[in-house]
Amino acid sequence: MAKSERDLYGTIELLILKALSFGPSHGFGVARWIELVSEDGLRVEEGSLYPALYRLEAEGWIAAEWGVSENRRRAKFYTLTPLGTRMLHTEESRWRRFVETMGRVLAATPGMVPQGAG
Amino acid sequence: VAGPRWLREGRLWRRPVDREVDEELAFHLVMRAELYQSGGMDPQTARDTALQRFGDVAEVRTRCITLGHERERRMKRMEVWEAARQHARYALRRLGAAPGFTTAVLAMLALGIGATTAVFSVVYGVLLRPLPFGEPDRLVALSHSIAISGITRVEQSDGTYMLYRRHARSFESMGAYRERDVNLGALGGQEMDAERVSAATVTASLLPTLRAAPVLGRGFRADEDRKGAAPVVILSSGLWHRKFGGDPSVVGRRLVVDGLAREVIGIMGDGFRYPTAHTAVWVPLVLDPADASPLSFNFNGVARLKPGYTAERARAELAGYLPRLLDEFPMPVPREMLEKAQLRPLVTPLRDAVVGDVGRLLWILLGAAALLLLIACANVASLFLVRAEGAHREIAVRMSLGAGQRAVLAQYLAEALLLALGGGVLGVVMAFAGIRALRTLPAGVELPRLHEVGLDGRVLLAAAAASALSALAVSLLPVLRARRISPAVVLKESSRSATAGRDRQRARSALVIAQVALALVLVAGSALMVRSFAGLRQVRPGFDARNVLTLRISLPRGKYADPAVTLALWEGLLAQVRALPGVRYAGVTDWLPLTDDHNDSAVQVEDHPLPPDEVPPDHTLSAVSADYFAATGVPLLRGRGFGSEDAAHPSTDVIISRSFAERYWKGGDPIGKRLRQGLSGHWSTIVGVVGDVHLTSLEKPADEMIYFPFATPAQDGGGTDVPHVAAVVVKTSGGDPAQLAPAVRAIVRRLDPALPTFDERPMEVLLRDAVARTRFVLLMLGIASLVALAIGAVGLYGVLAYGVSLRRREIGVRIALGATASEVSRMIARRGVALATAGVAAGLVAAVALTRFLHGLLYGVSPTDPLALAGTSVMLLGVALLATWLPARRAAMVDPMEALRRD
Repeated sequence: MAKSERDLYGTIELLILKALSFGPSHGFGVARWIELVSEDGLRVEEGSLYPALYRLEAEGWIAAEWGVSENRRRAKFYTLTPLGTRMLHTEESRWRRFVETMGRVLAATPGMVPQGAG
Repeated sequence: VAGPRWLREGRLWRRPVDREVDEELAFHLVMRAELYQSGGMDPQTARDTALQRFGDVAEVRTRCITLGHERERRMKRMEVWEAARQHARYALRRLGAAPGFTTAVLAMLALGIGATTAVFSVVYGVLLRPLPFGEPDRLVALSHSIAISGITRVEQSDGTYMLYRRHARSFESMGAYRERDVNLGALGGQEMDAERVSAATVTASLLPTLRAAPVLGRGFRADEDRKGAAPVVILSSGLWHRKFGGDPSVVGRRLVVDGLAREVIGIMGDGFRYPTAHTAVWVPLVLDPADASPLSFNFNGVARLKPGYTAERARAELAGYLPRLLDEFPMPVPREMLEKAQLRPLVTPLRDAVVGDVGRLLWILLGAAALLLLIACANVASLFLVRAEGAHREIAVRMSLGAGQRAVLAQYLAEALLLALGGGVLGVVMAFAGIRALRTLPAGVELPRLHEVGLDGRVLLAAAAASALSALAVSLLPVLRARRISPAVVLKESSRSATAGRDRQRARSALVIAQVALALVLVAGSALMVRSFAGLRQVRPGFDARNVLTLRISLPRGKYADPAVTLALWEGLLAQVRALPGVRYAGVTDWLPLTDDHNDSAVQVEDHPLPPDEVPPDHTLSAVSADYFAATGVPLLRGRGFGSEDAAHPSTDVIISRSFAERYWKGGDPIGKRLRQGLSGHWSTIVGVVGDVHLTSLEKPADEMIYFPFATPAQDGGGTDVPHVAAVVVKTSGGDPAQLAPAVRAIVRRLDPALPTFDERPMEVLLRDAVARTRFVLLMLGIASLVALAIGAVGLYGVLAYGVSLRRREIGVRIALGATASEVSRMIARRGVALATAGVAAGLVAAVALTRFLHGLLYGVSPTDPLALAGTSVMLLGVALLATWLPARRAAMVDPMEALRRD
């Protein structure tokens, strides 16, 4: 597994779940949504997007169905399952806690260093 | 239909994963390229850029395909599981809706499977499982067939064993042993309560022959069974734990065995129980070629065949050596005598010798259990047939509505499987309880190897699976039958025609007949056992067991070598016991009636000389004190009893039993006639005749007996013989004789604290134990037949009651047309009686064929005893009438208006 992929592991799943929470979409749609919403701040490596989609499908968090895309092409559409919705909520709050904690840690000043360590 | 949506949809999605992945990735690349193109790129550059942005397409593709396959597999598993779960849930709901049916089927299956599994576990553990020795298939027991009066088989004498050991080439090794009881005394000089235990004196080669070795310490050395070797002993694991708390330091200390201090050299493992489950100590058996008695067959021989040798080949080899017996171990008997006795070696599998004669008993029990299972299966089948009546219509409706045949069948299969599973589990629980009950067998029915019997996993699995499978087959049959009928026919038929289900009624009738017939076989078996039991109870044992206490004492030979001392102990004991309040008589005997005591000997009667080469017939001998006859109530018919004993002047008086007198003097006066034991020795004079006693068993005719006084001239010429092991027999003037035991025990302790007393029991217990085996079979068959009767009655009731419910309309019409209630009842009852009669008739045929397997367990009644069979038939018909009564009454109460209105 490439280094960049490992960094994204867990993150890309959350992004996919979030993308699908607005309605069914195909893989390309998910990729585009992430590009647009993050204003290209999160460059999802497309190569890791599809394995993640398959993994989520195998877990039963998303379901796949073939349909017709907006430009009349056959495309595989993914839908969030009830189980996936629950997972999304859990992961969202966990991510928020993580970000908050990291924020606090990174905002620490030298005065906050424990006595013993000085 | 439940289940997550994605799962249900997934089912329709059957395209190969790799094509899916290709199409999906292609779509992505095309979309991306189009995006670039709309941004102004030329198509070729757009495609290249899209590809480049995507990364390694081939790798992503492989990973997606792998993940896709994994998902498909997982989904398939879940689908199967989900389907099974749904079928099970639905089946549970349907079974729950029919609690009567479910309970009945579960009870039947549990009974049948439980009984069969329990008995089969015992059969397997006792009869089928190899002996717990190394390579047990090569182990054989060595004995002889013989043809002299009353005996067909003898074991080994020291002479025959040493002869075979000297020459035989068929065996890898051989061993001999003799069972006896010993007194245990102090360990390492530390006083302990004296105790009597089962022992085996064994040749040093016995344990190695069995491939058994102590878990602690060592086995016997080859030279430890020679004359003059240091005395040693090996203890059983049970004794070691019970008496010495499993203390390893016991090995190496000295334990007093029968007055002789022996060094404890080893402890056997818990699994080693040979020759019997009770054997507690093993001591070396000293066989001395110079001092052999080649015609006293008191030893058991065991051998291990060389690989590739058969028992038959070994037997033929041994037969070749036997004629040399008297050459190598000379004895003053005529050669012709040995030839006349037709002594022939027997080589049989050791397992048969260990298991003995309980094999048949167990197979009979297994047969009874199997019959019970059959009856239960028949009943379950008829229960399912009733259900199939309803199912019939349901299946037809569902099938005409387009439900797949397989789906409908799967559902019934699920129901049957659940029931079989439930029945199997309950059955195993019952089997477990049954085995525990069998382990606490009543005294007198000792099953060999019972300690090896347990819920063996494999047996349990096999028995339960076989039983459940039969149950399953039986339960599915009706449904399979139903499937064959076309929906149109069923729908038409079930629209209330009077002949509805006639075909199925016939099947149910056949099953009821089978149930009644099988129940009859079991009940007939019980009836025969009841007759045997009653017959045995009728046997007059010849002694009066009321208010008699018996108690055994064994004097160590070392301490009581002097016959005067021995006799003084017995006499002192009797005098003190007689002085106890409530005691009327006290005597001693070396053979308590109906016990395993044993003393047979060839006897010569002076005025009945035999041709010189004829073997004198064996008779039962017993040494008794003067008061023995009074204590046991054996009447003196002629002459006088024994006088007082005197070790210095042993008596040559003997008393004979009535049948002995009959045999030799047929009404003549035997008083004053002389007889002697064996071929040499002193002559004794008959002074009295007493009543007959069943000494060996109640089943056999009364023994032709000779009673010797307690002090007799020694067989080998000089001195006096006084028995060392004997039972004290005390007759009280009333009340429970067992209450006297502590006082008698106290007297023994006062006389010699080292003497153990054992087997304290009222004489009535001896009588009870003598019929224990019959009682045990009776009990088992009795339980089985009661259950069979109940199941049979329920089956008959069920088929009649269902018949009435099917014919309500017809009955209503009959009543409306003027039939009276009693006419209608009779019509139904006639059908019940017809079914029962057919069942009884079929059962009688089966019983006549099957009860002969009881032969040998029966006493005074033939296996086809007309009284027992007639009684059984009447009983079954009576029960059948009872089962008929309720449906018949219900038929009479049918309201014609209501019955006709219903449609």
